Amino acid sequence: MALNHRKLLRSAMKTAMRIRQLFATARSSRLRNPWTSESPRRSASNTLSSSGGTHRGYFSWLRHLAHSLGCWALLSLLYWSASIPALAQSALPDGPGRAVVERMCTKCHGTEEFTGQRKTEQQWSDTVQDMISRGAIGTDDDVSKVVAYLTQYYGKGNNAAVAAASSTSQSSAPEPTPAQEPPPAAMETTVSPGPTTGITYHRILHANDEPQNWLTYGGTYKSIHYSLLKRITPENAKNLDLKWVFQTHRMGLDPYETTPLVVNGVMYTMQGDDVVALDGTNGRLFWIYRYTPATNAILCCGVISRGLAILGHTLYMSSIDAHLIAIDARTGKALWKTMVAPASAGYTMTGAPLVVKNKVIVGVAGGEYGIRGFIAAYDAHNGKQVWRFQTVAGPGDPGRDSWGGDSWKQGGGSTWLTGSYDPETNLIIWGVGNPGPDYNGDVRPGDNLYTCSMVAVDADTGKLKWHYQANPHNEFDWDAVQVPLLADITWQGKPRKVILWADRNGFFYVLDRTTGKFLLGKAFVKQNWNIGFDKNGRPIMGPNTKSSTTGTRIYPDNQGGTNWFNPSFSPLTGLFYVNARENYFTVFVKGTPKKYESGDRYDGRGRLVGGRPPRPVVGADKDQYTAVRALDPKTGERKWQFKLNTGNSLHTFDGWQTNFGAAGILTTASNVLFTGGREGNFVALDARSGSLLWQATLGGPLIMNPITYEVDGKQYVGVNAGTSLFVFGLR
Amino acid sequence: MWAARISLGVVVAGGVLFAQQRNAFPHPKTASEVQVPGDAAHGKAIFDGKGGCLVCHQVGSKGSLPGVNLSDIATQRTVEQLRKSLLNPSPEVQEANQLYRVAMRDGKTVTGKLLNRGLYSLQMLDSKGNLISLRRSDVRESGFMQTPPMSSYQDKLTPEEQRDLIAYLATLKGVIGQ
Repeated sequence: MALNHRKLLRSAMKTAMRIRQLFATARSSRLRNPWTSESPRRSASNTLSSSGGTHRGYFSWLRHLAHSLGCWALLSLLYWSASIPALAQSALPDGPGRAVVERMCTKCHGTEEFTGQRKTEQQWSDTVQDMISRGAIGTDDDVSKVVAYLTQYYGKGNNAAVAAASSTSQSSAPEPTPAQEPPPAAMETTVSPGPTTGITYHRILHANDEPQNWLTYGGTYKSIHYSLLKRITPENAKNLDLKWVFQTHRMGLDPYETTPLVVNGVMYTMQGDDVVALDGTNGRLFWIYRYTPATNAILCCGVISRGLAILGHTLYMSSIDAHLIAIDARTGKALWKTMVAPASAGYTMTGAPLVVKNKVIVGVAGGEYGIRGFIAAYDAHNGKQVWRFQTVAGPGDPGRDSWGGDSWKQGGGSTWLTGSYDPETNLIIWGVGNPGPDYNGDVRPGDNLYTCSMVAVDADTGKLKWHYQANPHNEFDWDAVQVPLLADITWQGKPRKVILWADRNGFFYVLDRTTGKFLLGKAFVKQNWNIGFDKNGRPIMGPNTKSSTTGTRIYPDNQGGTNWFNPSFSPLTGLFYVNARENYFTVFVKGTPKKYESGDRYDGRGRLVGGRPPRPVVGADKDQYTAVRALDPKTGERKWQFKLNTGNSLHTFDGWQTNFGAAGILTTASNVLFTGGREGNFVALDARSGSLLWQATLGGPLIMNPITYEVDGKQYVGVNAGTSLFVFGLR
Repeated sequence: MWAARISLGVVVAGGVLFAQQRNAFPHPKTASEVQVPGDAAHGKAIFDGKGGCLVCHQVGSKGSLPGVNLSDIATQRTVEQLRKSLLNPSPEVQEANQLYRVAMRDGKTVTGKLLNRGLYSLQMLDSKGNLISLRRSDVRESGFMQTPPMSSYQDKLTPEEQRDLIAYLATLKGVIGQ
């Protein structure tokens, strides 16, 4: 390592002067009286230079010369030795091409980057081409010489050159002053170097081959939130300890819904629309990307950012001012930004993008603001739109006649949660939100396709392949915006590829994921609106289940029997797990809808002269609670439940959204289930029985999907609570 | 006595007003905030070609990692600073932008940019573009390298080319600024 020569020279000169002073002082026979005003230095200088000095002697000029020569000799010796590390840097074996290698290969890094490697000629050629793609400059002739040189001296099986080169560097002068490293840390911070990016579609497709990483929002394209990691078990889960915390620093970050990604020990997460890269073992920061959304962003529910996508070296995020932004995962610098929809018209984006092949798939929010929702695909390299599927059927679309008049223009149909991808059918399966205006359907007669539906669109073209509408013409705010879990189960004695889906309307659904065929609909919470299904799976509404101006009491409430947080399916137990909200109801009051104005709330609430507009009355009945429920996907029958919070408990945050949330669910191949609720308890349960293994009280609502990952043989589990991310591992 | 106190008060008050008038803490405008003469398109051609800037620098997704990322350099530097960095770069290279070298106790070495350094670990972007974290207890020694300083472009580019190159750099406002 080369030294700072200027600093070294100054240091050497000081040393030389000091030696000179000591030399003179040592020869002085005069005792120094510390109580006199005469300092030893003044004495020394007087001795050496003054004609009035004590040691004026015949050979004083010789002594002076000797001192000076000695000082300069010392300086020269130090300077020369300081140069040796620089020489060591270029101590390559002599041979044809060495000069070219030094010129072309050491501008950005040292020789040690390649002298320790052994490659074939083809491998060295590939490496050189890689360096050229990173900016190395050389002619074709240069490249040939470099490859030939590296192959000759650093080819596979050739250690002679290494010995020759390294012997020189080992005999080099001292390395720079070592940093004073602290003693071994009491805290075991295991770290691991390794590639953090370079994620391909193939790797995401086979994400289960690298369970130590979390490569996409749902863990895998099937979104079943089931990890193959097994170090944490029902037996040792009681030994889980807090490892580190990431405390966010953005105002209004409530609720904190981001699910991180993890790639080889590096965690990428968000705080609002900022993106951070953290060391997954200790939470230390690599970089932060700060984004300030436009001030005209219209938010229904807080500064929400549910996560990121990654492809190659690029992260993708949706912003609340409705932009898709690409960020270099190595440096945190933005690469491009595309406006997806106008924020001033009520569009916003809160979901994590989904990377499929070379495209980034996104959805939009704003169903309460008269938007016309859609799912869109963008080119992952340049942000140009590839296709857009309108979730509200308009002119020329199948289903246009399900919207009376021009009501499709403000039809809602938001798509604010990341869907799933089925590579076998090349279908993107995505949930669609409520129609607009939300609570009064009088202005939108018809079934209002494809709101409150699960849709499947072709990943390459965006063309609709099938849909299933859970609630035609809904007036209860029952977005079908949940994650469809893709599973292969035995259905009526035969293997079948299905979607497992728990909807806000309180029903658990099983659909054929190739055709969308309705296979099962079974209530998993108390409900009073549905009295059955026809042969196509269309719900049959019970009596007195329409919204009214006098109020209609409906179970479940508008927040639903469950909501957007991820359920889980464990192939090991064969069970479907969902956080269910039991005994909640809403008295839906139909207001007079106001005239639509762009950017204004448009949800079917009327105006009262001199008073606040009516809003749905959310009940607060007794026996309300949220619980993890394990369902048999073949029947919808409940196997067990574990309560996470009661309906009337006090909570830390008083934002209304967090009143009704819960964490998603994570299951593992060792039969551990992780989840939590708004009382702030993060729990580990036995996935087979629901028995409690461990819990931590984190002091704030949990409302994101826990993830797990591994670094250097240690398994970690992360969850947000309040406005912080907590990461746990075994003691 | 009273006259002295009043005089002192007048002097102090006057000083405060004077400082406010003069904007005691002026904010120099960055290159992105001023009009910069020159042909930015031609400057880009120089940047990508003859100047060889992408050998060490990155703009957007192009270029190399070791040098300063220039994607939004116009919002970070004044025009004069850009000019100095081009013509007399050595004193301008901030220590934080120099390469950092770590020698591990197991004999391996890591070179790259130092992103963070704490009591127990340090975080780097290595020369291969990997984000890595190292336990400080595993490190034998470390420090900033005296990397070959960026060459001056005084003699490599004509004054017109220098002007155009700076004009191009002044357009690099990052994604959000554009």
